[in-house]
Amino acid sequence: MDELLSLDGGRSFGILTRATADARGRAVLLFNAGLIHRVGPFRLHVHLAHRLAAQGFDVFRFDLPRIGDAPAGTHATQESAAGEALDMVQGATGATSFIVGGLCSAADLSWKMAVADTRVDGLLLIDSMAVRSRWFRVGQLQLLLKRPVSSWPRMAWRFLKPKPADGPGLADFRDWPDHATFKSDLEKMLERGVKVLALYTGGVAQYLLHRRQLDATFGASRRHPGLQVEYWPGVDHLVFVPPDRQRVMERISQWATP
Amino acid sequence: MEPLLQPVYFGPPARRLFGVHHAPSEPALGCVLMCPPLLNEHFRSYRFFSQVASQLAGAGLACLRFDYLGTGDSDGGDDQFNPAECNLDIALAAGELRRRNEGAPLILMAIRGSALFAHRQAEDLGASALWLWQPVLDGAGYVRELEKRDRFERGSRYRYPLLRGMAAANAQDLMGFALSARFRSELSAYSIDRQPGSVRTAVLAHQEDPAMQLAADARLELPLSVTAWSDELDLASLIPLRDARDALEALVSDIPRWTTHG
Repeated sequence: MDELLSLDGGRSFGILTRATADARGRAVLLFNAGLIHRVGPFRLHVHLAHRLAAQGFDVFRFDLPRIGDAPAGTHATQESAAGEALDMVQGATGATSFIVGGLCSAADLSWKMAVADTRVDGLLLIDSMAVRSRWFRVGQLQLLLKRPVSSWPRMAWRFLKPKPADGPGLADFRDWPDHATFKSDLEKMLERGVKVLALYTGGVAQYLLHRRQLDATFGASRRHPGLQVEYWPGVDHLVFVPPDRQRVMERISQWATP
Repeated sequence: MEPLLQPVYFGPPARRLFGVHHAPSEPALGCVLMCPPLLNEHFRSYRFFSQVASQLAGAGLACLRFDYLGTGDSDGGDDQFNPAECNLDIALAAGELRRRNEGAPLILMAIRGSALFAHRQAEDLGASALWLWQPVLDGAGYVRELEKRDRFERGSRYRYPLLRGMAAANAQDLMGFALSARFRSELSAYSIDRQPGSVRTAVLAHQEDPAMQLAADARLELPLSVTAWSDELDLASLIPLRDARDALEALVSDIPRWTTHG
């Protein structure tokens, strides 16, 4: 059964789904996917929480400042608000280790939390950082060839046209470290024993179009047994259709309880 | 003092619902039950209506926003969200709101698809007013629109740039939710009578919305920036509360008009 936990001195709150099977002493925190409130896209977080609770996890979902029901509050940063949520869940459940994760901006925040907080030993990333590399161009070419010839000029122009220097780019919407820092932080986390599941959908075609990009992204750690990287090009960024969402949840629950 | 936001579970164990109560700093002049939009529209507009509720609470009206069974943070799987039972949830939520604000007149604010349910119940619940926000008027037409949009999204090259053909869904799935076999037929059975009802009514919608033709005691125009969300699936931006302020201020400028039974 879900219960309420107060956050930020009563200004905000989150919902804790307690383990319904034998508790593992391990909790899961799901962060907001972009601007979507704590239920997640199409209630993904609600269903995932109940599924993981049945596997012995306590699961907490809440709104970061200025999302859903949360006011600006007193936290200066999202990391600070997320840190308080970890403390609250630890206090309420006695969990000693945490999986943190989510989709899109939630993956970005989870990465930062996992780097900074040694209580985190599991990292769930959906549509996280990827570098474009030359394989992105190969992906663009493959995409072009799959489309009707009549659409090639328009697509080619879109792919190759110079982007305005002052226009919005990925950096304006995502919070990624530079690539060298990303790889080095990943190495440190894997050495620390953090288990990472990185799922990528076809819905982030603006930066990921070829699975070989992921080799470049994760570098030497790509084959580390603690890191599982998967590319699901037939799934969209919001995981719109229920059968896709079911597969995503099955994969996550399988990863969380090896 | 700022309005206080209180999350709450209510209802019997078999029908436990989630809500958020926005309490004014003084005893409530009236209480507004906000019945949410349906399916994808619910999470698209969630932040905006949380802000609207806070705005109303700031004007002295207690507000309760809630999620139907099988939606949002309420108990139940998606297939337990059945339109024919939404009246039960509205009645439970009205009871919870009244329990928290004893003696305050009840106003039903029904958003989009919820208007189909709430307009039938306003009189039975003893509401002093019914505020219809971008109301859906025809359940059957709405289901057809949702089906069309669902097919469009599943075949969208924008949404699925790397997928050949359409994304597969189950026959009962609609707009991303795994609904029951009953959902479409039940929702299709609802419509709003254009004749005036016995409960004092306000309509808030874009000037070109057919809902503005409804018989109503007040029609408050909303700009496109505040109404376009109902046609958006992705949360690319927030709905600007500032653009709804004129309509909200008009609504609360004469609270006795809405809290006195006509």
